[in-house]
Amino acid sequence: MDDAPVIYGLEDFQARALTAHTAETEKINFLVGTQSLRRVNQVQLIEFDDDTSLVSKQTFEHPAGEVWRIISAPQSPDLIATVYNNTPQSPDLIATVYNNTQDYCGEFGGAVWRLPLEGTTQSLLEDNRTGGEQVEKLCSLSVNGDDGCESNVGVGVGSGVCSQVWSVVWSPEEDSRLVTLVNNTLYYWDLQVAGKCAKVVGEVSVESRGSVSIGVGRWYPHQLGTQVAATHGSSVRAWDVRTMKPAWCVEAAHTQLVRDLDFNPNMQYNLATCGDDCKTKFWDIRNTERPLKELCNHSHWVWSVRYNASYDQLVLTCSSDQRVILSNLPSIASQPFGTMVDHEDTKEHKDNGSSGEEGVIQTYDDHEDSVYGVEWSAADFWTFASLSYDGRMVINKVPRSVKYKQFL
Amino acid sequence: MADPDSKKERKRRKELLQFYGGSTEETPYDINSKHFNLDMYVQKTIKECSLKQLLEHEAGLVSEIQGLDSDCQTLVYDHYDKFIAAADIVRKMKDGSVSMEGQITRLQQNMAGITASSTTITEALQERRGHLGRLLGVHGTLKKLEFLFHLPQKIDECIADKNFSEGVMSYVETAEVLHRYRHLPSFTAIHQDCQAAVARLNSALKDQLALKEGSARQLTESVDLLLQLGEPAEGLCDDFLAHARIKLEENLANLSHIAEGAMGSKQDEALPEHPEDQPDTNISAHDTLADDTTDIQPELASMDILEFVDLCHETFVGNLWLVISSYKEMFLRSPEEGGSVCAGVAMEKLRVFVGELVEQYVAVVGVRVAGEPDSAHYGALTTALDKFHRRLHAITQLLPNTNFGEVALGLVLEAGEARCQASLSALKAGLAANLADVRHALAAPRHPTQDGAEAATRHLNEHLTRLVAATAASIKDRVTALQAFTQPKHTFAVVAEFRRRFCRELVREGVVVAFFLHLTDTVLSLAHKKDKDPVLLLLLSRMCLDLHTSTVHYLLSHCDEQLQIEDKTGLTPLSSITAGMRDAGQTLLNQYVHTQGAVISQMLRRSVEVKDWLGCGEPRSVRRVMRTVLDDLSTIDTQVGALYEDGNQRDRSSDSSRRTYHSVSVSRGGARSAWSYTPSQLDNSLVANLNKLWSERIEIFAPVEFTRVSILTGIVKISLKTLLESVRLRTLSRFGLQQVQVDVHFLRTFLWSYVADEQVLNVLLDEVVTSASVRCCDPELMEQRVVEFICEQS
Repeated sequence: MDDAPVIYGLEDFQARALTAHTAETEKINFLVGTQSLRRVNQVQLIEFDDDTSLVSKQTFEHPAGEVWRIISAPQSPDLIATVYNNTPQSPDLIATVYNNTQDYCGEFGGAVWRLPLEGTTQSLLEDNRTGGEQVEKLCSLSVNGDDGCESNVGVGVGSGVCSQVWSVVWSPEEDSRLVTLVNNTLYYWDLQVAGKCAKVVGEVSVESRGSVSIGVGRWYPHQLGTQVAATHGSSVRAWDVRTMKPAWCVEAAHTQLVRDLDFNPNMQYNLATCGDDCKTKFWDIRNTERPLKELCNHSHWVWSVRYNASYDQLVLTCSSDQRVILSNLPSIASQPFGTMVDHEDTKEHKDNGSSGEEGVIQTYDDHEDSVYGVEWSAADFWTFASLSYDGRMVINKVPRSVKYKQFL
Repeated sequence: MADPDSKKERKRRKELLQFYGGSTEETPYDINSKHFNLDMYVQKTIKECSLKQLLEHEAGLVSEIQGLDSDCQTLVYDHYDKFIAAADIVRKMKDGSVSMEGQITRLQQNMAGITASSTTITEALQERRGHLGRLLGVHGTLKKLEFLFHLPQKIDECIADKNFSEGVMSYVETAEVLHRYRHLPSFTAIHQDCQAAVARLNSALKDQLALKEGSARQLTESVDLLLQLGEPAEGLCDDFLAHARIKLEENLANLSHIAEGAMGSKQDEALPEHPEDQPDTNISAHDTLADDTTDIQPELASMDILEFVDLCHETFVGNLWLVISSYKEMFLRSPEEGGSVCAGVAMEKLRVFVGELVEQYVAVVGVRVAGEPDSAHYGALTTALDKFHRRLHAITQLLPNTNFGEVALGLVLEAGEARCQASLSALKAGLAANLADVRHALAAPRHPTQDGAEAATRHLNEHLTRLVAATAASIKDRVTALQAFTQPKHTFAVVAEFRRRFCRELVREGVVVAFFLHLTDTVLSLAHKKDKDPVLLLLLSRMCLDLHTSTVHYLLSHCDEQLQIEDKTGLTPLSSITAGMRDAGQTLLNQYVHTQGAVISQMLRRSVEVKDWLGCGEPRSVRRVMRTVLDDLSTIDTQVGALYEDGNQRDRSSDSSRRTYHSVSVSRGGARSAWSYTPSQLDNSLVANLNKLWSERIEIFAPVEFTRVSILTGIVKISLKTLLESVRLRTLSRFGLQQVQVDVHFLRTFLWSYVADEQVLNVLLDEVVTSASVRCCDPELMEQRVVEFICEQS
């Protein structure tokens, strides 16, 4: 018997931004940023109680605008960075600023916020609907920032046509290191103590070809986190942040746009990418001629791919075909099932033999709109959340049979 | 013959009659019966008959009695006449016999006189006859003795004249006599002389044997003579075989020279050499072995395989045949003629000898066959192989316990296999050439005009037909050509083992099936190539479908029929090939849909990304990209329509039903504008959710069917989903939303004709508008009327 999925609605918000609460290792927490052009947007901290299967949430207002991306700091549980769309914040203002839309709308900015988590003692349930608290802005990550941050670079971003979402990536180890991706440029930020101030310590650009720009980025988790990789059109590029020079590149990783990438947390050179050609590909970055493996499970664009942090044969993908797929890929995992069971009793080995096979473990059909985000929990290896555009968040667990097999 | 029989029969019947039913005979009332009782009859008659009847009866009886009386008289007179005549004759005979008696007595006396004189003469001659007989006997003995005395000289003469056979003959005839009388001193001398002469003869014969130029016939003769002279058979057969081997190996060397010449044919250097040395051996071969010498053209360099095999037959095989038969005749005679002990050994020797030579021979022929160029017709080759096989088989029959037929069959099979492989590679090359042709033709610039489109359509169809026809024709040609191997006139074609190997494994599996699999692989590899022409994909998918539905089936059954393969077990079944074809076709078609969908998607995505949706003005027309999309779709439609059937369109919309749909959409538009006035998020998501409740999940990259509508639906779905996702990534102003509304309406107006299910189209288009309104800061839809007006204008 597997646990039924826990479905949680964001109350009429559209949403794209989902992240695990990385620094919180006790509770299964996820952070969701809403996307609305007409209401005050929220950042919701969603806690899933593993024992009772209950969901509780804390809501924080995010007055800066709709949240396109959200990421939580690796060390401080109360730090988050969001990419927000700096649009008018209340319905009233729409009419008044209407003619000036160009000045406000469509400008993407990035900032570091603090979640006011001090008041954890007060009942969350009471808080549920009010959403009174606001996230506290610590510093902006805009390079043409207007709020006194030390930004030496005066590159203009908002030329009216900034088509690509910004992406912000936190270094996997330290709070102080951040990277933002704007159009064709990558900025490397050094965040001061407690995030009070941030400054650009490096930047690198790629020559733009047509309207192609950098999409989503990811820190390279190995070798002390000295590299950052990002999607660029149909390729994946990586830079060394120490020298701000290109490190390696997977040219034409997909036939169309690459939507997301993830590094295998346990194997040094393995990379997963997904894209508009409905495929998920796995690469060895030392040999980018051909992928190690190709999955073609989805019937539309694959928006996100995530390795399980501990059992890297478990891979999640989500797609705008409204599905989330959990795959088992022992052939490219750090610890293939075979070798793992070898030193175990033969009896278990037999039991495992049948179901430890490569391929899809389960397809989750709980969403009714495109699923843009999927994340493993930072606290529990077996729990993951997915978020679809209609604001439905689904928390699922890895099927027990698979789970037990990992233990045995 | 029948008379006594019938008489006997009658008698027997009468007796039977008497035995069984005598009473019926004893009717006393029958006048003619012997039991007739007059009184009873009279009484009965009087009793039964009336007076008149009685009178009539009496009259009848009277006349009958009178008749009988007169008959009786006539008979008596006749008899009397005859008696008188007989008496006359008897009297005449009595008179003649008296004179005859005296004559007979005289004859007897004469005969006795003759006998007496004959005896006298015989006695007188007796003495002389005995004398003459003795004289004759003496004469004969003297003659024989004279022959014996002259025998050694005669043998020497024979040696001098090379007339060995006469010499041997005379010796063999007299040998026994000499042997019998050798205890007489005079005969001993003769005997010794003879022995010496025979020894000379022997050595002369051996000399001849050692001569290399000696022909097989001479050889045989010498050996035969030697055998008659009582030479030990063992040594002789070794000599014989060694000598024969030299000859045969010479032949083989010639043949292999020719074969290698054929291998490296077209090498002009080889030409002048051949006529120099070949004809000599050729002619000598003819002189020596074949009495029926025929003229053979010495154009050996250009000799075809048939002539080669004939030459083989005339030289090597003929010689071998002669050697074997003479050997058998000489050394393997029936056991009572002696040599029964070593017959087994001799046989074994022969077998080893022949085995070695045949092995070499087969190798030589193998070289020649391998050198045979791969032409379209194998008639000559198979005839040659057949001859080769038949002759070796004949040798096998001549020589029991050997199996050269098998060896020959192996060579035939090898040749067949080589041909099959050549056929397969030829087919592959043909396919590659065909595909390259089609690719070039497709890569040629096409004209976008209407005529051009039609021409392109026609071209596509032509290409398809040509491709399929060429493939089918080439396979048929190859099968027909290979069929030459199985013609029943060839003896090897009748061997079951050969038929099984060749027909089933080589031709069917090795050529036809392997080619189909190769075709599938080739086509699939094209599908996964990066720089592919979508039209080619479409064309190939159709080709696969055609092959799947009919051509493969036809070709395979054609092949089975031609090769008479009845037992299909263990062969690749038809279904697996056609299934592979179908899968390949499906993959290609999916690939086509994805490629075309991606092209349009790319266009739409770029257009959405590049446009400034916040700053745009009020929409006045449909964006140009939508037209381009429609143009592209209609081009695709033409392409697909050229190759695929239409397929079913669910709810095929007539004009009126479309109108009703518009009214619905107007009312829904109204609803939307209603919530745009009171912008409640609840309504918004309600609409979207209701939308989803009623619609099924749409698989975007679902596999398509082999119909025009299905293919286009696939492309349209992919394109619209892209539009939806792209719009969701942007933020729109009111006018931006309205622009989307106009575009969507425009698409709705034109796309319906391409899709199978209008419902799907509507759901997708509605979702685009809904998403756009969600992403709009100031969602206010345009009035449907205005939207329609703008669309109509453009």
